[in-house]
Amino acid sequence: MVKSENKQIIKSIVIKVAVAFLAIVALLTYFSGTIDNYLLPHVTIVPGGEGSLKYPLKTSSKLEVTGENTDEVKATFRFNCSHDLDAFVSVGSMIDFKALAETGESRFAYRDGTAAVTAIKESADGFECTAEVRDLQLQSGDKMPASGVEVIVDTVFETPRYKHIVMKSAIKDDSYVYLVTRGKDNKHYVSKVEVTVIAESDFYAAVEMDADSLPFVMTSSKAIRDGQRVIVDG
Amino acid sequence: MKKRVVIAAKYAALGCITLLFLLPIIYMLANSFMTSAEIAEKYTTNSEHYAGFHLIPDRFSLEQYYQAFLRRPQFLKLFWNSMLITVPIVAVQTIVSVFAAFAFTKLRFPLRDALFFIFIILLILPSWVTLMPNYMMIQRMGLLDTVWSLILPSSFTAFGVCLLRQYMRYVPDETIEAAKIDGASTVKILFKIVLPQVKGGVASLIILTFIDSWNMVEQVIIYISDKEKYPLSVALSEYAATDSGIIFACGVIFMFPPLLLYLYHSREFKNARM
Repeated sequence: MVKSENKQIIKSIVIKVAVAFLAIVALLTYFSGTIDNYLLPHVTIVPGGEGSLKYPLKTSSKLEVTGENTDEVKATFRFNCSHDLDAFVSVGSMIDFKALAETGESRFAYRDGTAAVTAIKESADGFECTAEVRDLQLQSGDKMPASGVEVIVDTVFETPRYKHIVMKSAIKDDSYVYLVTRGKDNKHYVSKVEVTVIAESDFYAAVEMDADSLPFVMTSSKAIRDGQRVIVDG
Repeated sequence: MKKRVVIAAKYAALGCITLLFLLPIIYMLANSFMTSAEIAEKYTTNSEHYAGFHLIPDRFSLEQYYQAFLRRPQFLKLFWNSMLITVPIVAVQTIVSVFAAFAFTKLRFPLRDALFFIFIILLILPSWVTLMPNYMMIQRMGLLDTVWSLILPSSFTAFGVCLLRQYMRYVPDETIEAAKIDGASTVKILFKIVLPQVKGGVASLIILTFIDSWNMVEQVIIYISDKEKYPLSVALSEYAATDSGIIFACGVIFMFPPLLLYLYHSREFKNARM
C-alpha cells in the first residue's frame, strides 16, 4: 500500500517536472532572445578615429618688456601650466593672448596678439613657458603696453594627428580597451585590445594599438570579458 | 560468513556493471557543467594525441545550459521538431497497436492467423528493405521534406502489434466471455477488461516507440532535406562538429524527455510480463 502511494508520488513529481520542463522550453523558444538581451551586459560606446588632442589654456601673466626705447625692444611673458605639455607645445609653437592696452585717459582695452614659445622648463607647479610677443594688434591711439601689464593667455594647444584617439575613461587599467565588433550573426561582441598611451589631454588620449579603429566601450552595466556578446545602448 | 561474502561479491559485480552502463550518462552530466572554454581546452585533439577523459569540471558552470537555452534559439526549435515527430508517432502507433493486437488475439475472423503471419514477416524484414518502396510512395504522395514523411511510415509498424499481442494472450478468455455474457460490447471489453491487464505492455510500447522515434536518424536524412525541419537527433551530430562547447548540455537536454517518460512508466515497465 505504502509502495503504491510512493509510486503515485513519484508519478506526480515526474508529471510536474515534465510540465515545468516543457513550459520552460516553450517559453525560451519564443523569448530566449528577449531574456538573453536582458541578461547581457549593456554597453555605451564612443566612436574611435584619428585626430589630434587639444588642450585649451586660459591663464593670466604679466608682460615683461626689455630694451625699451631701443631697436631691440622685446616683450615676453611667462605662464605656468600643470599639464604635461610635451605632446602639445614645443619651442616655436605659437599661442594667442590678450594684453591690456591703454587706449586713452584712464581707459583700457584688451588687444589680441600672438606670441612664440621660446622656452619650456619644469617648475614646482608643472611647467613654465616663456613666450615672446610677435604681434600685438594695437589700434590708433593705443599706448604701447609696458612691463607689468596684464596678459591673458587664451589659446588652444593641439598635438599632431594621431591614428587612434579615445576617451580616457575607455582605457582600463591604463593598458587595454574593449572594442566593439559585429559578428557574422550581426550581433555585437567585445574584444580586448592592449594599448599604449602616447599623449593625453584632460578627457582624451592618443593610443597605439594593433587593431582597426572601432567603437570603444565607454561604460558597461556589468563586467565584460574578451569575446563576450554585448548589447550596445543608444 | 561465506554466504555473505558471495552476496557482497555479487553486489560488487552488479555495482560495477551498473556503473559501466551509467558511466556515459554520468560523464555527459558532469561534463555539461564545464565551461565551453574548458571543453575546448580539454578535448582538443591532434593527430598524435587522443582526447583525455575528464569527469570533474575545473569550475562548476552553467554556461553550456545558458548557451543552449538562451543563445541557440535554433536548438530549442529543433527540440520541438523532435516532439512534433515523436508524439504523433507514439500516439498513433499505440492506438493502432492496441486495436490490432486485440483483434488478432481476442476476436475471431477468417484468415486471422494468416494475416498475423504476414505481420510477423513485416517485423522480420529490416527497415532498409522497405525504405525504397516507402520513399517512392512518399514521393508520389508529395510528402517528401515534410514531417508526415517521418510520422506516417513509423506510425504503422508490426512491432507494437506483435508486442501487445503477446501481452494480450495472457488475458484469460474466460474473463472476456464473462464480460460478453454480462452484455459488454467489444470496445468496452477492450478498454475495461483487456487494457487494464496489459498496462505494462502498453507502457513498454510507449517507452520503446518514444525512444525509437526520438533517436530517429536514417529516415530523417533520407526523407528530409531542409535542415530547419531536422529533429535534435540528427542536429546533435552537427552541433558536435561545429559547436562542441555546448554538446554535453545539449545531450543532457536531449536525454531528458525519454528519461521522464521512463520514470513515469517505470512501475508498469518493471512489472510488465508477457
